[in-house]
Amino acid sequence: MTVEEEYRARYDEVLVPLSASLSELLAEHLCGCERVDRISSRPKSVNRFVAKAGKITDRGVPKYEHPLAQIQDQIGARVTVFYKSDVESVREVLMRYLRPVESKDLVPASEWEFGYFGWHSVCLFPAELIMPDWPSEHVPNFFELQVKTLFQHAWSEANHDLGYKNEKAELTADQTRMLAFASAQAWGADRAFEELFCELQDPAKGR
Amino acid sequence: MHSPDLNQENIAKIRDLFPGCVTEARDEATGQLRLAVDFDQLRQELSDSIIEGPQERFRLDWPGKREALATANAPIAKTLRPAQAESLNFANTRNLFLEGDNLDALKLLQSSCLGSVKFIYIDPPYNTGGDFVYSDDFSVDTKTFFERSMQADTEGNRLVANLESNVFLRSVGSYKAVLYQDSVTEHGFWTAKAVDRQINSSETEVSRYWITDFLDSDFKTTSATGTRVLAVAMRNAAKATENLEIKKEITAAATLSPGLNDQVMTANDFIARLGLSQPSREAITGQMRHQGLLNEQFRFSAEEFNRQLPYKSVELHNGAILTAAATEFDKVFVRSEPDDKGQVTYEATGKVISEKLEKVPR
Repeated sequence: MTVEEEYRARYDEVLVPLSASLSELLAEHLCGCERVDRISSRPKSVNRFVAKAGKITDRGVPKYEHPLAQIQDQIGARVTVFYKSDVESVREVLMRYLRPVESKDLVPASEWEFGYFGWHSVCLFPAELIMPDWPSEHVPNFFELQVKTLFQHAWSEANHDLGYKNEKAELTADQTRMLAFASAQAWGADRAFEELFCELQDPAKGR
Repeated sequence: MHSPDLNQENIAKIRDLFPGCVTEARDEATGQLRLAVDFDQLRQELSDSIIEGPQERFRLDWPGKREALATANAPIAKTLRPAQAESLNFANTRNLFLEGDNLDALKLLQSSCLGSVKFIYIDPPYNTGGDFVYSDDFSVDTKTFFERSMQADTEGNRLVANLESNVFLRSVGSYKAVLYQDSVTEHGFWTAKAVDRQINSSETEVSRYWITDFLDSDFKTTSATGTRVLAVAMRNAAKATENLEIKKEITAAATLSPGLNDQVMTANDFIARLGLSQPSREAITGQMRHQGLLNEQFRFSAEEFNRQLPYKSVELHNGAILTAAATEFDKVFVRSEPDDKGQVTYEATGKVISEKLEKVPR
């Protein structure tokens, strides 16, 4: 079986129902948390998976030796919240229930750059989501979890869409700068809302 | 033919009377270890006042210590040679593996690592074929090794498939073993089955040390998730059933559960420890997404249990205790406004389904 056939089998049989039950579970965990805009989860589409599995490194060798075991975002879940403080509180609740194998705050490499911002974690699937009658070779170990502000979400969605549309050609310097500009604005808007939120929440601490 | 070594025999007699006053020292002429009397110690044993002697300190002594100090300080003319071909990621790695005589290697590292060592772990050499004063020969054939290291699960089945790494400790009558493996990739995520045969008493602490501190590992299921799965199933079972006995058993189990805080268990263990009846057990397990969850190990969290299945309990100064599920409490008990003395009246209406004297855990 090719990687594509194998992934397609796992997609239909496991990833689709697993993704749905994951977002239900996340919603249960976050029930009672304020300012959660949306909780979503998606299985990586067959086309996207095949494209990622076929990636070649700079040294000309395939990036993934065992793509089905090594690609960790076959299911990706995202929680979008209003403010940056909410990212913290949502993360705290979720980390109580989930077992992360890695977590990182993605920020551009230099303070002079703007681009992708957001918190990512790779977590083990909780046992309650893995149904015993699923063939174990189709069950992934991990999913990717992102907790983002509304603006981080907006920027990454648009960036992803534009990048996808433009897969064939490199962006021009000016186009790249436009994306960085949009990211900087999103960053600034998050800062502004966060400051306002903190001030109004606790006026004594406001500056 | 040799005449008896009367000196050694005499010292042995003193040793029988005062074992703490006899030690071993190396004979400077022959290099052999011989019994010797610690006269300061013997004087102290025979005196009822404190005998003056060298200043006391905590220290580790052994015959040959002075020689070891001299060897440690002696300069050497040796060098560390990089083995690039045998290395992985030679240019960027932050790890260093040195092969050679440890004293030589430490001397060579002295200038580059001076002042930056936080921790040194030493372990006496074993199975080197060297002649040491301690027993160092533990070499065995592979079959015996697997038997002795007891790489077996709790049922005694061998765990040797896809062996990646294992750690074990062994002492008389007890052992710990762990098998880490990833089913597909060489560098993938390792999950493990750990066996702890040392647990006889105070299991929580032993197990925490073994799993978290020693192995730097944790259960796949977090405390909160394991506890939540159980508590939600109990909550839903109590809500769904018409059987009052089941409702009552679940309430009792929930009230007793704080006593299990921090203990490692499975949902099965919980049900067994609290002595829930078969109908209650079926009602609870029927609410779980699948039966595999009954055997999932986790550390019970009283805080999470209470978050998912809270019980409200009110105690009055006259000794009355009122308990009900927190969400039901205000429906079950009607409370009057406090009177002039601050006293309130609670009223509850229902059929008595059970009435007995019980020891209430406090």
